[in-house]
Amino acid sequence: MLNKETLITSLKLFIITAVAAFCLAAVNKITTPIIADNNAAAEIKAQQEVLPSALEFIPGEVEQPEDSTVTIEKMTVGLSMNGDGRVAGYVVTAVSNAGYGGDIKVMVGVDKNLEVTRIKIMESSETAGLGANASKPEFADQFIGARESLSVVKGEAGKNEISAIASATITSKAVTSCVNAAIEAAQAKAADNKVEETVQKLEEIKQETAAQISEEVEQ
Amino acid sequence: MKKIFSNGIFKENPTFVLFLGMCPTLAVTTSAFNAVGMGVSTMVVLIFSNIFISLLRKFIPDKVRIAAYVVVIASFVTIIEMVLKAYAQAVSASLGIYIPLIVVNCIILGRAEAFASKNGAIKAAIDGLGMGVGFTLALFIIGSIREILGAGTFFGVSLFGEAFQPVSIMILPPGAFLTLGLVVMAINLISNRKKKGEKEVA
Repeated sequence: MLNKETLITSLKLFIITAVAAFCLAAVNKITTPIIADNNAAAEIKAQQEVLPSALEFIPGEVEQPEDSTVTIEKMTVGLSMNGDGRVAGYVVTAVSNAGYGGDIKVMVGVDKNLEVTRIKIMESSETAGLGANASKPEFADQFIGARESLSVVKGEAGKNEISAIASATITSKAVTSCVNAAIEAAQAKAADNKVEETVQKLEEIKQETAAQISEEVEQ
Repeated sequence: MKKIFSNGIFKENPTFVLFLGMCPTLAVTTSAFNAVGMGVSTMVVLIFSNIFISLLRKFIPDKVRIAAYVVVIASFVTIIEMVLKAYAQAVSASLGIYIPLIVVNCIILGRAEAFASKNGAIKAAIDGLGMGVGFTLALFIIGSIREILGAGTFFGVSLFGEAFQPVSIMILPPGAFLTLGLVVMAINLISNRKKKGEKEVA
């Protein structure tokens, strides 16, 4: 039965929810563009951290790696500081699902000589004090200068080897497979760029020759 | 006024006496920094939600009060989160992960129901402050113990040098239960003795 009290109660609850919804919508409308700007700025900053020689980043496409535990989420080509449009390197964001606590997202900078400049753990739910130590320089700096596929070992690391974090071999392996995928992706992209450049050069030569021939014919 | 404030720190400490908000207490106390971050974020939300609920206490119908509290608190926390993300990125970067957790923190709802809905805005704000300080203090104690034993550091600063082998279990989930149990035991021991002493005197 609908009496007066029920009506007032539901009306008041409706007012509360309506006001709350209105406030949320208003704040959301104001803050969404600012948050998007902030996130974009933060992303450029993060990319510059792993690839300091680049100023601008343009998105590039890349094939997914063979390793099924790793997906490449994003790949950008970094353009060099002096603004001549030359490629300074590549930034690859790879996600491994083989972490101890789930997904690990790693951003890897690879310079134009195809050497790793720096890696940065973007997101992970690894165990604090164990796997979470992957972001510390003792582990992360091992990747600097790497050019080829790396493998994880316990204890001292040799050439093309990464020394695992004590009691966190699974995390170490997941991060390393992200870096391996990133190196591969950068190599593929660099090869692609070369092919493109060559095709472009050939095209230019063709046009030049064609122009010359037509000139000669006219004469 | 003073009594309302100290109530939250000692007699009705939300963590050690009321056992409210156990989820963040156990989950984010892996280090002293995290613990203080969670504590301070909760305190700010608690003060403001207490004020809000107190101001609205005459308007909110008794029968649907819990639903109304949940709507008010959840909207308020979400607004704080969006504003921090937009205008205070540094704060948001270090405290951001705690803020959504606060929505489900039952201390907030508990104080709205037990105190703010029955008292004026100023009293409610002081209650929020006291409870917040008590909660922060409790998390700080647990976080410090876990960080010092489990990682050998305090606020990220190494205490014992390289030779120290950290007791990793202390920063893993079981360590939270161990620490909480031992701290509560210690507190009960002290307060029981005090009570006994008072009785003997009487």
